[in-house]
Amino acid sequence: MPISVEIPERVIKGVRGKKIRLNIQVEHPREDWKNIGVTVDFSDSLALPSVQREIKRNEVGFSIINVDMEVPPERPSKRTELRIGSITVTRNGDKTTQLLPKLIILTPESYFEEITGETLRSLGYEVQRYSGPRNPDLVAYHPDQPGKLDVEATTESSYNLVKYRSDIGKFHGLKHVHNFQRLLIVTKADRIEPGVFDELAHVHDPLTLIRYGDLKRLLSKYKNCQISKYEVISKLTQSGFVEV
Amino acid sequence: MTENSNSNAEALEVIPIAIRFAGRAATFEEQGSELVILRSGDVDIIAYSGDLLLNDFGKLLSYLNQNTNAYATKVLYQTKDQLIALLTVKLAKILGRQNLDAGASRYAKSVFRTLRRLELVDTEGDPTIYARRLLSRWKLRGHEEFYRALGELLLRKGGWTLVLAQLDSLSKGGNYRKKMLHEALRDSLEEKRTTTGIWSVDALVQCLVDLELIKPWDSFHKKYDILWERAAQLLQGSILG
Repeated sequence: MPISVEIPERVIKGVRGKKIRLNIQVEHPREDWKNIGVTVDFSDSLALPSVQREIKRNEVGFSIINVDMEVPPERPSKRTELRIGSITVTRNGDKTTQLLPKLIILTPESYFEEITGETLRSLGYEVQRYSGPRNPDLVAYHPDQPGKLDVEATTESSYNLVKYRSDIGKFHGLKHVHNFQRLLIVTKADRIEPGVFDELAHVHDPLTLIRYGDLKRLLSKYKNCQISKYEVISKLTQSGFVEV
Repeated sequence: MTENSNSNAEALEVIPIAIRFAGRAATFEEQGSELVILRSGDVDIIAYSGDLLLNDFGKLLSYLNQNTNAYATKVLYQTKDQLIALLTVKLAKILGRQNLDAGASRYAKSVFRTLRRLELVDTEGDPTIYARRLLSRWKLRGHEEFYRALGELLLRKGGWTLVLAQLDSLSKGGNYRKKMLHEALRDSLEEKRTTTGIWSVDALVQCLVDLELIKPWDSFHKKYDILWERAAQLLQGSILG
């Protein structure tokens, strides 16, 4: 094949406003060439103009093109899963077109559940995401620790007592159905109202409350080998509010 | 769940796409290595001083940025000499180090020279456009963009291609222990007279690791793996304009 375009086969999950960059690396041909053109055509639903670039010779022998786009808001009337578009490469009359990955536009709440699940997966957990208000947001299980976790990922701008009690109530309602051992609440907001801390001081339920920022810091430490998987498990099963 | 802000749009997701043509021979890594070694031939001097780490550059730029107030008046220093005198007194606090004592003046001069070589300050010590571009990235949450921009600056203007080329040559040449390799690197750079003043080779290598230009020390194979593709990307970068 004279031109090969390698695109990862994955579905991109996005939320309104999320930035996506197409990092296109073009290796120049060894033999003589006059012009190479790269065109990115976005799908109609994205309503973005096409991007055209001409590759020029340089001393490195390859070029990098970055094409940035922003995820549009989800539209209830239309399908939220769409193809980003296509990429076309032309060289001396040869032309190849490849489809770009699919994009699923999620609501902010679903997206937060997805990224929380992804973070837990990177921490060594097996995670399943459920949908619907009567189900847990996520169910997580670590191979080195018995028992399942009910994970509630919450996107309120401030985590307050009402939401806290609602999460606890949901956990009690679900724990026998799913055989949950613990509840892990992950808050997107950094702000947690003081009343929640007062309640946590007297809580007897096996629950852990952690901010998403702290969960990311935990992942960063784990990836940098600063902490072991057992310390990760220990942190996420520590009762009450956990900071990293 | 009730939230409607756009703050979910936190991270940038990158989709890597590679375009190749039939008959191509060299990989990105090979091309990166060629480019770095080619560029290292032009290096006269390496911009580095003391035991500066990447975050120290951010701290220094933040401090220099305080010199001009809202009325465009210089409040901390007017001239290069005043800046060096100020750094002599304040450097330990800015960098969060132990008291530098007797070495403070030399360290301050050396830091000023490094900032000049990187074209981060002008002859009077005022931050340049590069400094402002770096500073805007330093202020972002997470410093990845800052490291990328600083890496570009250090490779393109600071002569750090020579450090990578030397490290590569030494790694291929012998079965060193980590400490021995660092000493050999220091000797080879000093032999070429590309470094001046007091500087720490350990801190310099740590900067390369933090910039993701080399992998952390591989104690099994006794070497540093150089990430040529990243180096080539930074050399081709467009942050500095």
